[in-house]
Amino acid sequence: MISTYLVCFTLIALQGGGEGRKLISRPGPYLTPLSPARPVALSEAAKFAGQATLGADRALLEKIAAKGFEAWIDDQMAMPASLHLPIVEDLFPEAVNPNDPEDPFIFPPRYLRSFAFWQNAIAAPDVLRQRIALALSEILVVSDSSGELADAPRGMADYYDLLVKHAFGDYRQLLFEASIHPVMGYWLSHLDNQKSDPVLGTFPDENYAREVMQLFSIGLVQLNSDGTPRVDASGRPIPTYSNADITEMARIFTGLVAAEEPESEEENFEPFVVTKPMVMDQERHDTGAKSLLDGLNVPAGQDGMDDIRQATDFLADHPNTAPFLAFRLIQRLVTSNPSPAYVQRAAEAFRAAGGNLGTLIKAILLDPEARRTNKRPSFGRLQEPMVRYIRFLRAIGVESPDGTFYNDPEWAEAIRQHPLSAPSVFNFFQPDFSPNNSVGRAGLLGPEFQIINANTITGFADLIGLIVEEDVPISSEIQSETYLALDDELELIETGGIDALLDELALTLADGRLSKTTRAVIRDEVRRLEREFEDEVLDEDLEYVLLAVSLYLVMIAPETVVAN
Amino acid sequence: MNRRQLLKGALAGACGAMGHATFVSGAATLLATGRAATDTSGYKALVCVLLAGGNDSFNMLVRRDQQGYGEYAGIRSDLALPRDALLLLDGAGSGENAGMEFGVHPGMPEIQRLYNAGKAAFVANVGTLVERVTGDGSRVPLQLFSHDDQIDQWQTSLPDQRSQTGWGGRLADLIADTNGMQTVSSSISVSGNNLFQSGRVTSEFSMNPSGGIEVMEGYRREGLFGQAITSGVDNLLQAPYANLFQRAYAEQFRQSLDAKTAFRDALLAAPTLSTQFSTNQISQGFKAIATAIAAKGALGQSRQTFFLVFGGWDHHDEVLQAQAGMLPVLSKGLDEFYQATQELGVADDVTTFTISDFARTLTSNGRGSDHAWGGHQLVLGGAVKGGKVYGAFPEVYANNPLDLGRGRLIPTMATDEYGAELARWFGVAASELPTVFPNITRFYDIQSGAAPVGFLI
Repeated sequence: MISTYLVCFTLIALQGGGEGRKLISRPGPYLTPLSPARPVALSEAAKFAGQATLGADRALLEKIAAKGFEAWIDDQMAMPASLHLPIVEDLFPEAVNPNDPEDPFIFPPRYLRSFAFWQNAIAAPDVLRQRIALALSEILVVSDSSGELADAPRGMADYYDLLVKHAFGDYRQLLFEASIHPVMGYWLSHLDNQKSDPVLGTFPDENYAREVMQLFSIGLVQLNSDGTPRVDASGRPIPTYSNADITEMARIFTGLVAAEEPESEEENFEPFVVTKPMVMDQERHDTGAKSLLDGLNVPAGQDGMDDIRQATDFLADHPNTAPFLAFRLIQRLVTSNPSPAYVQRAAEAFRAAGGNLGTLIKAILLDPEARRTNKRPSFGRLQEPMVRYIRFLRAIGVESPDGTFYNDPEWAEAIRQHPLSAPSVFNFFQPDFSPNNSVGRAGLLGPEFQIINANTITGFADLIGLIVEEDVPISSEIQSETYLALDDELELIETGGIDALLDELALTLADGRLSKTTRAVIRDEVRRLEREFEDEVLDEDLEYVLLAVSLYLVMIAPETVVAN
Repeated sequence: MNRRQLLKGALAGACGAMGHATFVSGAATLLATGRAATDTSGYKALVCVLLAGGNDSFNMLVRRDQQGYGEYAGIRSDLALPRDALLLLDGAGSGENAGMEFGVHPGMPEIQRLYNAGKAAFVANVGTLVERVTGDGSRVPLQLFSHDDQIDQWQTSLPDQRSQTGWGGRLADLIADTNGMQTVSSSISVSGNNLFQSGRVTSEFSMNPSGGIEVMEGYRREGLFGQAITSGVDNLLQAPYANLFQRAYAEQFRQSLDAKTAFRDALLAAPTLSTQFSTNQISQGFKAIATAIAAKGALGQSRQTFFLVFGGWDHHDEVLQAQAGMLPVLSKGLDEFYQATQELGVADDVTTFTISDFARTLTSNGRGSDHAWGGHQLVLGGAVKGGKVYGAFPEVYANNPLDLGRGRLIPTMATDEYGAELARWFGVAASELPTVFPNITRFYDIQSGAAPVGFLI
């Protein structure tokens, strides 16, 4: 079932018309036939899961292998969304002491949002959706790393849920709803933004006007449909917008204010109404006509919310948006340096489906460039530290007495990466970052290297070391203790020895990538430990030490860390 | 002249004006020839403090004289600080600033003291420039007013291209082979990876920002687990990897372990500091820098650069309130750091300077200010000819010749001039400045014999 044909049929079906045929009649250089045989090999399923999930244990890999990629994607897309806000709401009473309105939080309120994230990252069955939501959170960035949003856990969770809900939906709708979400309004300061006041000499805030274009939709320079920059006659990239466009766009984003608090609602101690979309105060909205971006013409006197809808629809439909999003999502899921043909195929699929994200995700994951065994040294991506860590927990499994996985919110200290906590709207790293190492010297992009340094690279190893060597709980002290569930691995090492264990870890942690050399290095250490145990006192912890060393070394091995 | 129009036209024209390849090959040539004349004798350090987000520096340094304050209060409207609240800076302006009096933000008493003691100075209206802006045809930086681009360009001083190297990195490249042990880079960051210290052959060493000196848990540690992971890690990192990403990660991991080990050993051998630092992250960052300076001997480094990010300056709203909270942190942190350099006996050898994305619109958006261009910077150290505002402090009345609209001012000093002054003091010969600042000759005659700006001895 998994074949080139299947991919092509999908595109035709989704695109409906002649455009789809045109696309497949010009296959890119990488459109090589995939294995037509079913079932999918487990190693192929593992590679796929490394792109499409936040981690997979053997059971999930077997499921994917049995189903086939596309059918599994369809199943996943049909699953109900696991949301974050309900978890935060449930936990809220535990976090708040209503008798102390001055200092109501018993523990830092952002922990609540973190707990909800963990619960779903580790246990939610809709893994594809959760994976895509995390990727979207690195494009439509908001952050509680500083300022009052750290005290708005319900708002942050509700914003995250927007990404979860719309992960496979239309980008138009997501961009509109993100634009009027109060957390975004606070973050990029268009909440309470008002029209110019000639008496006071004030002007509309330009913050959101700029970032909604630069970072959330069309980007800085005009793009060809394959994501490469369009150039003028002198070979120079053509800007997408001017500062005058920003000033004009800023007038559109005036008049948004927080929704009214329903009177019956309990005091929530958050800085403003955080879970209801902002509403329009027409008095503060600039109702004049606006004309910008060669084609966005907003008539005078229109309701402010209609202005905004018109603007976000225009941006979502702009020819740049398809390759802009395709490139970024491919980088997050598959490879840092996609071929233009790959970007084009994904962007065309998105566009032909009317800007549907689900179609885009499917096109990205089923594309031959993502699926084929790739030996090019330039292919692949350094996996983000937070994704590596979540994948580790998902693959090995965790156990807690009550089925909650509210992990330690301070876990990220070591690796300086926590979902929705980027240092700025520019995310943890930027899509066009090229590092000063073998990757950069080859002229390649390596966004994730922007947060790799002497401190974070050892910090990640320390995090894994702490968990596997000390077997400390990974949970917060506030909640029930969660531990790694190592029984299966211990049994494996007991019955099959180190080779059986390495086979398993290679599959679940390294997507099948561990080379003979890497295995030999780890096996040597394990054998040496066994000998030392024989010489010394042999006790029941031998298997545990062997497992801990194996897990640690597999997790820091270059073949695990880099997906290719 | 319609400034808005100027900007629009110039923006389009400036895109990709200079290819990356041109610069790289040029730099490589200079790299080969420039070394001999760079002075690395004695000890010197540059400390770059990035106020990320765009500090509204027109509220950090304010004219107090009648006319100047009047213009300021007029255009800043609800964002204007009361005149009486400004902390008096001694002495009247001279040269192009003749007749002006200045005050510093009320939250910066330490800076007031250091300025009046001649240890600190301000540099007015500095910004990213491709060339001097003289009219409609002038080329202007790529993506003016955009945070990430302007932050990058302040660090690269190459606003007409997307450069992968910063001027601190190019400086380090220039002296790489005469600057002692390089297991630990002499470009030391307490804020992780950054463009400022990215060179062609050198890159930053990231310290633990909280000052910790552990290398990696278990690595080179006694015991079964320690032994196993030490040889396991060493062997995994020295294996060959065909994939470039795997190879790059293994290289960086290896370098990190070696650098952290050497750095720890150097710090353990260094004198301890008694200067007290505040507990906030910024002061602790300055403290970490001071400890690395104390270890200069053990590291064998006669030149060091440091990088510290103080973020959160993007005050589209609540600019007054936010600056009232943040400028005191900066002021106090700088003062503590200056005291530490005195304690270490290197106050005259360490120069600290700020950079920031841009200043902000002089006009208000009702609650705060938006992205603009030229702004003021602060320099501090025993080598600073302090107690003075360098560079022409701009007129701020609405629609003055420098105003592009909403009080976005065209800079009158380029980042190249500001940086060149620092680099000259650091030991770079005037003839070598183009290696570090490829555009410098557009702003400064390197054969003039005069200082680029003049704020350092």
